[in-house]
Amino acid sequence: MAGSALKRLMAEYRQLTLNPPEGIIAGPVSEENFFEWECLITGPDDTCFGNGVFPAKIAFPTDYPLSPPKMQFLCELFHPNIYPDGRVCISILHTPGDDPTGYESSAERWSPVQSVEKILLSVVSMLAEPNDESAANVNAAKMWREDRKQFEQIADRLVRKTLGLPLTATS
Amino acid sequence: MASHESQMPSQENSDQDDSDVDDDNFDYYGEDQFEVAMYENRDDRPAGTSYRNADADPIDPEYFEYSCLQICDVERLLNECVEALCHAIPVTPALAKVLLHNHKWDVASLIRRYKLNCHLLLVETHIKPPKPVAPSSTGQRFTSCPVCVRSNLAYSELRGLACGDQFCRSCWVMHCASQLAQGASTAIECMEAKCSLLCPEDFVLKLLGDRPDLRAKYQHFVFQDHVKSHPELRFCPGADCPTVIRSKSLQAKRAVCKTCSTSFCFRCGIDYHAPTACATIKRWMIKCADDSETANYISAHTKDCPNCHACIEKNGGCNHMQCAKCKHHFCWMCFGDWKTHGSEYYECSRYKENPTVAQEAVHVKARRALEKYLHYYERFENHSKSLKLEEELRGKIKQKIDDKVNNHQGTWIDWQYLHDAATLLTKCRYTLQYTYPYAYYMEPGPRKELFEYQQAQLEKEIEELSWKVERAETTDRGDLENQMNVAEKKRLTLLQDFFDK
Repeated sequence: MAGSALKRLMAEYRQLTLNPPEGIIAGPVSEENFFEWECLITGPDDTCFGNGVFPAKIAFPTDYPLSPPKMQFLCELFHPNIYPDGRVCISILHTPGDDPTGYESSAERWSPVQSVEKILLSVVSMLAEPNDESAANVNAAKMWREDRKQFEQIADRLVRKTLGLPLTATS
Repeated sequence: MASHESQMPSQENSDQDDSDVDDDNFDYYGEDQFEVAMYENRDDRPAGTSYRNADADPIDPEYFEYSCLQICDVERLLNECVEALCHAIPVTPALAKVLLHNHKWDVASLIRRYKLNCHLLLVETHIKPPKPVAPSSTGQRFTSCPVCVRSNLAYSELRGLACGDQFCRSCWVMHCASQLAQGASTAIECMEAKCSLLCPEDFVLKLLGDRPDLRAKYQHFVFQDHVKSHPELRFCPGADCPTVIRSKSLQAKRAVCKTCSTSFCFRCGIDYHAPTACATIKRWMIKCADDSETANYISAHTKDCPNCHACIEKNGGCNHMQCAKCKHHFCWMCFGDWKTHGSEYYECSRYKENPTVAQEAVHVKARRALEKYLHYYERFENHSKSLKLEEELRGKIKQKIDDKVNNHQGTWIDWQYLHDAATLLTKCRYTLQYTYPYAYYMEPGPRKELFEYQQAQLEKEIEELSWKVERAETTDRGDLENQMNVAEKKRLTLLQDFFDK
């Protein structure tokens, strides 16, 4: 099983290197182990996460691509669909069977023809448009719904933190 | 006895006509449930024998017709449906199974819908793609598998469903294996992201041709899924019991598995709970699971004297309490004055709503709500404990009967009524236990009053019966049998009035 997973991951790595999507860099942590990847995602422009550069790691199972990988941000992020420890909760990382709440029935699910590139593009659009129906971070979902201004301030502060800039805007 | 023995050889010889034979035996089983209990450990009835409820009277509110099937009987039943459908409409058996599984095994409605609009039916059942596949997509383009990204594959290596999405055989096998590991069988879908076509049985079995372990697992899971999707079939909830119970009516009535003797509600699969409805008992069980620890603590410790409010701990079995401080006599269960308990003792099984409750402060309301719950919970639990104790009593009675028969003090038939009495006591108390959740969720009103009246009557007769059964040695047989009749009548009356299946 691991043999075909490795082959598929190498093919995806080659594809991402030759033809990288805008704002995304991804690849294995070391070429010794293709099942642990690191990636950098830039926040989508014109959103409160704009200009941010967010590091994350992706862990692949040995039966990839039949089972989806797991993704976790390595920086602090305040977002309805990201757990406080950085794990990402998004429909494309779930197999059709494992959604007991039925929230994501219409959304895109994991299937063996999905890929790292598609996951990362989905994560970028998730940053721009949170899904507050199935919240991983309830506080963030509540604030996003009820107090957008404060939510944007927190996001801006975290963006500055990842970039190593002063925490408040200098005007 | 004689009639039973004469039936035996014909039963053993006729595996095919077992249901007919059972109809002949019907009165026998109906009249005498103790005989059933005696023979339940003997495998003397052939597989698939119809096994009726103890009470054969169709007016009996608990009367329920069902049968216990073995795996081979169920397979035959399901295959008959598949054959009937294949015969009526042009589909393969594997596709017929997909159709039946997704439409509650209703052959007639499937045929009707197929004739009305076969395309719509096949699309809705995820057999055909909603849009026809472009012919070009099945040509030379597919020489690589999008899952394992191997290229230059021979066309014979590729497999796909009606959607036209093609993947290599080894990826399909791994896909099925990984889906099986997650418990999916009838729900295995095409690997393409936006395609939800279901893989029919023949497709999967062909892929798993050289993996006998996975094949067996797949077939086992498919069978389970099929039974679960069939409205007339239920797996027996007993541990590791392979029996399937079949009934044409989906009612909340008691089914007893003839293999493992597990008794359960046919509709929801948990312990039988008449007269309480399935949804109500579910709420009650959740509530008990949440609150029972608190309830145990409170009921075990704090009770205040209704007169002087001194805190009293119960140190004996008697419910007639006398406060050590003010010498007030009261009932431990209902806090009423003990004076009223002489003539109308069973008044205390009735819960009285306090009419001024709305005007009271929130914490008093909460206390009242808890008290109300505790009132019913304690009685529910108390009867549950009594049932366990009376189960022991039943064993003792059986032992006693054996001793008597061995000492030539009459035949077994002479003493059988004792055992019947204990069995009936269990049955009545079981119903009584489940009247408490029913009463807890009832709205106050005349209907609740009627219910509680009947409940009190039942409780009174059952306690009387229990007393007489425990002292069966000294009780007159006629008196005991009379008490049995009265208790059972009260039980049936309550069920007839309040048990909505």
